[in-house]
Amino acid sequence: MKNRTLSSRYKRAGALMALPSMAVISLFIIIPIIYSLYMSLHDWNIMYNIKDFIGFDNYKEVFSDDRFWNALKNTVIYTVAYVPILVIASLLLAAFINEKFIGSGFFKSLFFIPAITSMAIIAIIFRFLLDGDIGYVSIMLRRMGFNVPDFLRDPSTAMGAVVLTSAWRWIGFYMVIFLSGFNSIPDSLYEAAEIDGAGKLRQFFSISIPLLMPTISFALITNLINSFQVFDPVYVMTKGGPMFSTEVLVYYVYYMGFNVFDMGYASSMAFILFVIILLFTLLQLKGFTKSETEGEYA
Amino acid sequence: MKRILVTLLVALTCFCIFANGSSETSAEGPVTVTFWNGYTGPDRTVLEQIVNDFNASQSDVYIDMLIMPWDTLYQRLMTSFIAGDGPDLIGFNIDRLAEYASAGRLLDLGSYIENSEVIDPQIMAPALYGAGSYNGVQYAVPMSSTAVAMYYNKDHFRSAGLDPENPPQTLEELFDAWDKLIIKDASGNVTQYAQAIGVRSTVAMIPAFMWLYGADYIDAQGNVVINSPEAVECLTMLQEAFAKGVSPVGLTGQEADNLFAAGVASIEFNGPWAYQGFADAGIDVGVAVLPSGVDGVKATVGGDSVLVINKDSKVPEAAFSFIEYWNSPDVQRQWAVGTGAPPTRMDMMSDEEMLTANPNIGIFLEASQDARIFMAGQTLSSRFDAEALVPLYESISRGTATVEDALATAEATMNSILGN
Repeated sequence: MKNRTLSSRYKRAGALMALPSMAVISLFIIIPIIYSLYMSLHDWNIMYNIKDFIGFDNYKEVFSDDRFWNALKNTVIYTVAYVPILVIASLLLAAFINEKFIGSGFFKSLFFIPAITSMAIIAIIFRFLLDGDIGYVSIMLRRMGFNVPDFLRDPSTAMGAVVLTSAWRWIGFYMVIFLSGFNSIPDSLYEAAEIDGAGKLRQFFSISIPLLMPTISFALITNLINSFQVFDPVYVMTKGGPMFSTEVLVYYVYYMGFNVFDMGYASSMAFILFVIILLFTLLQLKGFTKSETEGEYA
Repeated sequence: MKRILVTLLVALTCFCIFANGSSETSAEGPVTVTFWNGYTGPDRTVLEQIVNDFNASQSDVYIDMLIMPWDTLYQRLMTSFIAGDGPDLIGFNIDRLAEYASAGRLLDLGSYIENSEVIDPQIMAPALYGAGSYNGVQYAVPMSSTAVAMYYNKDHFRSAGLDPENPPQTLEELFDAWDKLIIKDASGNVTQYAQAIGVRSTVAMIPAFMWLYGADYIDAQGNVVINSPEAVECLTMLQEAFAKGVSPVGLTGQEADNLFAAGVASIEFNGPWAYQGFADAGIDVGVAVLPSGVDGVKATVGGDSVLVINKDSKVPEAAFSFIEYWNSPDVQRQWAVGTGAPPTRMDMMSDEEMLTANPNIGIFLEASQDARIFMAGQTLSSRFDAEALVPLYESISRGTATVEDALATAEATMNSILGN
């Protein structure tokens, strides 16, 4: 009887302690998601105070909108390029810094600096650096004999420039995450491998990578979610151009919501994006949970 | 007791949160007028000085000014209108007026102007004052009247064998200058562009060419008229110009400014606000009115910003008193001399003090005689630009479509936006 009372007391205390964060999450995440679904079922123009229930008409229109499909395609291209580049580059950088050579601490701080700098500022700097005519990068590459395109004004290279800029910002941050993963791997495993004659490369692929899989999965999932929501580098560097080649879904949602003021249409696209991200996240989580429980990483 | 204290504290907190801080009327202090605008450029200091002078000149009205980038202003404006805490007074671009006026967000200034001793419709800059009317109601009074002129790099002109004191006065002379100003390296890459022509997020540079060729976008009845023989002729000329490297493709207005300021482009169409930046960058800059067009037609892009009052403002009289102050001769002289922008009053056209202090004003004044407002009265102007015109200019400048096809697409898109 006493145990049951204690248990219910603990539960009540737990619920009370979780209440503030649950309230904040409800207020700023759950309620807006539900409200965006509600808005998406309306012809809702905030400029003209129009709010008519139209059922799923916005969704029908979205699926027949070429610009939506182009934005979705661009978002997928961004994700497919950005996530592997970021994860692989930060992993390799972490492996390099983990060697603890003289000055490794300095480099660790140096690589981390972009992560604490505003994306807008970085995007502005890169916009200047990559300018085809007066940008430092373009001028230097041209002096080195390369026939460089106008990175941000050429539809075939603009997305690449945006991807690399975003990845450059976060590489240092994920390097630190991977470094903490490296630190949790017992040294004895590397010592044993060394005694068995395994080289550095073999140790990396046979010890580091398998034991880092939970960290890698974390990096993959969080970046997948983030990359589907990319907005700021696109907004600052290209405004979706040239010729819609970098217009991603969130930018199109922003355009319809805050330029056209068609909140119903913008909300329907935002909700579709929410469902896409949710599905991807659930699939990935399921995959990694399965691998972890079956001991694949052990 | 404790419960009462808590209740009082909560009530006080709620009061603080929900108390409207945008406009206050106090029996003791001055009336506060919140004023938002987007003058973040070199003209900011002049504007701040004028507002400070106004606040110091009397004790009835206090202008609480918030300057933010134009993009941010338009984003914040709509949400603040919806939330009911919008600013009392707003300075925004004339091309936004129809959008906000048609949505019923702005105050009808007709009766205020009628009773004003300063704002006389007969002496205000006619194009901009006229564009401040929507459906016969005067919602706006000019804030900064301007016209786009031609900036050119005198050093480039000298090097190309052109007379820097005699810039092109016709399109033929301009095209001749283009050919002389383009410089290419051994590999054929352009190292000096003849002109920086912005196609997006820019002052309307291509519309200026379109008008010089007699083409237009929307007629007075609201019909889309972009697909015309004149437009075909103009855009064919521009397509050929881009192909031979007159200008880089896909430039934003900022990028075009940067190229001119860096001495990489020889000519740019721009407003008076750009002058100081170019001069500070060390460019020996000349300013002239745009060359005359086909059959001698004179045209340029005019407009700039207007002052409007929020329909829900609790202090419209106080806000209007600043509008009157702003348009008074002394303040207009101060603004014109400080920024190079022509005054909003036509009775100051020959103001010696102003013209002597800043000689560029005379050129922009001359340009303003032929100025037209781009997409005046169009509630959907920003959509036309983003969805029809920028893709049109991009495809023309990159040569990804024929002029005829690109114009047909733009015409269809504009009609679709209009719901035709």
